[in-house]
Amino acid sequence: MLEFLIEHTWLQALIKMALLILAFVMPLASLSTWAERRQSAMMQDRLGPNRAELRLGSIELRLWGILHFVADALKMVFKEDVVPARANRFLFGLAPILAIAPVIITFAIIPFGSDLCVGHAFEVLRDPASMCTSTIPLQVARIDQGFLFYFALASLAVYGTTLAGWASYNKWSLLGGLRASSQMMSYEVTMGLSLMGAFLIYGTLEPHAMVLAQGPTPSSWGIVTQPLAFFIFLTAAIAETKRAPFDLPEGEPEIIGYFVEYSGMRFGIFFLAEFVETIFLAAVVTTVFLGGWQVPWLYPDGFHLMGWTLELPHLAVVLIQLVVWSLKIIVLCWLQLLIRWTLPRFRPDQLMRLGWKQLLPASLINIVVTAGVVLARSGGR
Amino acid sequence: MTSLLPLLSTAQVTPGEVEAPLGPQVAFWVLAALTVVGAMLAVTRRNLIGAVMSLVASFFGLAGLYLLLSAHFLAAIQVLVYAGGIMVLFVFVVMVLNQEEAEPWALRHVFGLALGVAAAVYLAVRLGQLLWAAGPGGGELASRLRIREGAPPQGYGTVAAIGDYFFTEFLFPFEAVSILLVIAVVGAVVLARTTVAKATTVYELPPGEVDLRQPQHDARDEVLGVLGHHAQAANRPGGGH
Amino acid sequence: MTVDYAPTLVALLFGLGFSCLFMALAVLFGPKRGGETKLSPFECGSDPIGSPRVRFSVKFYQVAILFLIFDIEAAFLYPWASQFRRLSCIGPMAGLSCLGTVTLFGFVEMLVFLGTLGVALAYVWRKRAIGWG
Repeated sequence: MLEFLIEHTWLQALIKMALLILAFVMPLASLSTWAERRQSAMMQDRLGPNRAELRLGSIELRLWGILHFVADALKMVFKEDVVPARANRFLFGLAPILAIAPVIITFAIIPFGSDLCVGHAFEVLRDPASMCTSTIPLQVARIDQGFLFYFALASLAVYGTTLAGWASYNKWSLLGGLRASSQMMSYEVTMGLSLMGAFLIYGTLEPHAMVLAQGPTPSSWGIVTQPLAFFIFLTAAIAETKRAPFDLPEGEPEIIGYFVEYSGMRFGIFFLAEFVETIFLAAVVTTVFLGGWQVPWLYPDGFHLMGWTLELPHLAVVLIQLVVWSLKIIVLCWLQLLIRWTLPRFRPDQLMRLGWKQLLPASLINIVVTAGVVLARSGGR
Repeated sequence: MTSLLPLLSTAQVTPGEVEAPLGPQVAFWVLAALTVVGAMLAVTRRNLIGAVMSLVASFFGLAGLYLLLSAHFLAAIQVLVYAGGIMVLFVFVVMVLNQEEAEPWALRHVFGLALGVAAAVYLAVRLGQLLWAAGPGGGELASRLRIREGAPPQGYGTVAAIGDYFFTEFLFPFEAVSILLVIAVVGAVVLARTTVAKATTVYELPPGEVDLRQPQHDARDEVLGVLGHHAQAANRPGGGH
Repeated sequence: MTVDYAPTLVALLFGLGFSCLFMALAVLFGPKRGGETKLSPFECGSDPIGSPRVRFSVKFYQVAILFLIFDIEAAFLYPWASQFRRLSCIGPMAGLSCLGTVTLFGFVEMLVFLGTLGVALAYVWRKRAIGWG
């Protein structure tokens, strides 16, 4: 069974992709719709959604309202499917797909654990290089240009918003679509350039190699080596998800945005895409700046800290890494919720100024300084 | 035609083997079909945005073909710059001009027809030449095509290899590109400035949106506006429920 | 180096299929009742005035073209960044550190490239083409 998997990489990829998306990303996205409403309620001294419950005979399952997302999903699916009379039916249907598909596909490059060493699950890996002859990488696609693949696909997400705005045949949607896409473009450049420093330091574009280069010592993680880039990237990436304080394309009290003509599950896809994007952004930040699946002082054979050692079997190490990786992502998602409900919305001119006049020059300076430091330090050794 | 395939799937062919494995063969035909059909739709579709999207699909096919040729970096850049950058610019041009869908230009005149036929004939001849050269005919073109059997050199087409080229063989073109980009920036600024002066509708702030930089307008206007909206909604034919 | 692209292809197909599945949910289960008013453009109850096909500000176009230029710039920087350590080292490398002599060549080359584009950015800044202010 395992040998078959190692040989047939496509089947392996399908299983990993399905597990990653269906068992981690989608549940987390659904839960964060509920978490967002509860979090905002707490911050505004309200209760928030807490009433959805499941009645099985005399048992009432309430669970603080977590079931609200199930109710929301069911409602969306069975809502009327409205396509405006003058809308372009094909592009109107294509837009939500283009909004969500790229972000789901790009999850393929995110490594979520160290390579599984086949046949040594219950042993302590003292010498991984010679012991592991066959491995199963915990990453769907390990390709040389990793992050380039992400930027390439992310640039296609612009079509989702633009097409939605144009195909609806509504001037407010179109304005929202143009605003959304010009905002995404303004910050996309900064996103790419801000990660350049990390590419310089770790000498690779491949996420897994980058995680390995960061190692289990937190002092060599990206957030320490590239603190400025961390803030630039986080800001630009939040702007890219179009959530408050960057929710101008939506502008709820004013123009309602590019999806004003969308209803039911078609709207639900845009809604879901937004939450999947927050998770993906958390995953990228984790990979580049927080050591990915690395756990502080956890090496392939166990914990090593100041002479103190705790040896662990391979499977336990991988499981701890998986859990810590998930925790890092959940904390970053929660951080985004806090930001979203704390800061007020920017004005269009402020948005453009922040993107082009502050973040872009800052990321360029960061590249030059990082290159200089790398150069100065590479000679010393 | 089979002899062209090793060229397109060098990554998978072992030296001496002529027939490519099934996977890349199928991939080649699917991608080629996507590229050609996408390009044809881009030309024939009446809806401009639809045409641009077909071209995006075509570029995707092209990126896939680059992958089959082991040009990994080029494939990523094809999607990043062409599908994600230049085509977005096209969409923006269509949207900013924002015309109702209209009939495309018909090839009515003799001159237009002659031009079309000449282009089609030229294309057919070039394609035929290429296929003939790759096939049993051989000749001068075949040597230029350099059909290779066996895997490409180590690291071929990767980001690292391209980086090497920037610093060695193609140093000058690389620096020249930056000058070219500056020229493009200047052009964009100059062109947009002249257009701003002539534009009929400048759509910066839509009606109903409040410019916070300006002093707030009389609150009574807003109330009247709201009442006006209600009156309109009630008078709407077939409106209400 | 032969890279296996089958996983990438699987990821692409999975993502597309998954998104289409959601779309299918909307189309299959959503009832369709329609009606002239319901299917007209939504403008909070008032009748739309004019066609949505009107011209928009050229500033949107300007943002797009600036994006394209800096996107291409970034595309050139990726190979440079990932190869920087190796290219500024004459001699053997041990992992990421250089054992031979360090050369400024790569650094200077990139300074020229970035400097030229910095001039472009400064020009745009001076001409007030960005910032919408």
